[in-house]
Amino acid sequence: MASKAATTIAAGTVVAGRIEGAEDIDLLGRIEGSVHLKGALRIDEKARADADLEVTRLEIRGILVGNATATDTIELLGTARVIGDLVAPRIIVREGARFRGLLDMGDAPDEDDAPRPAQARRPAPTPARTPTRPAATPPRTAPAARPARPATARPEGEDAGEEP
Amino acid sequence: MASTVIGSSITVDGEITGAESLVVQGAVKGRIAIAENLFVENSATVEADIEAASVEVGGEVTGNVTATTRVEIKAEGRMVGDVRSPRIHIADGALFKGSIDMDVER
Repeated sequence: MASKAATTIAAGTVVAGRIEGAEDIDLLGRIEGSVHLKGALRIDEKARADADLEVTRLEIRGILVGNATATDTIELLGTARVIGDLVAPRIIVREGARFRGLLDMGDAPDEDDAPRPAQARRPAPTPARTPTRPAATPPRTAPAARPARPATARPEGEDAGEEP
Repeated sequence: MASTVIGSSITVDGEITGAESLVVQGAVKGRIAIAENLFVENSATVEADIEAASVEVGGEVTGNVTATTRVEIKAEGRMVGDVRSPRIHIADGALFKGSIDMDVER
């Protein structure tokens, strides 16, 4: 998980104020204030954030008191304890997580037209198929003149049945 | 031991306090008070009053520094402010403006 975080706030460290940046942050200690980040913020199991967060991704295993907005994902893992409102297009709450606040994933896709036009298309092609079949069959019978050339037994037998 | 790292794209406006070492690659404005060592790296800008066990300045520091063991300003370091520390090392090439007080009980 803590793959390429350049910034770490260690367990005994408190950062109070405003944090801004464009990289991942691993929080093992404590943050108070606000975070504006183009990157992922991971709040470790023993970490605590009393802050308003605006991040790309948020992963909470510890404590968050404050509102959080993520442009991508917010995930509350089983050890998370959160008080605040969360806004993100994707929000995952794992079993065991404790949460009090509002979740906002944006507008629900209520009236997507996708299924309705698909049904309307089906009846149109079916009548079109039936006239094509009879049109195709007569040309097959027409070139009956061929059998004259091959002297083999099989074509003769077939053609002989058809010609009369 | 795990230390705190403020990465190069990060700006902290406020206060950093802690029991661990602190490595600053980005920018810190405000106050730093830590029980261990502070490393201000080449890319870093620190505008803060600093209390730490030791301070190593490779970047830019503006503010007053109190260290309980030592302060080092490296050749690439630039520092403006007053320093209180029992031991001080200023490398050739370093830029420093301020007063130094080495009369500090350990």
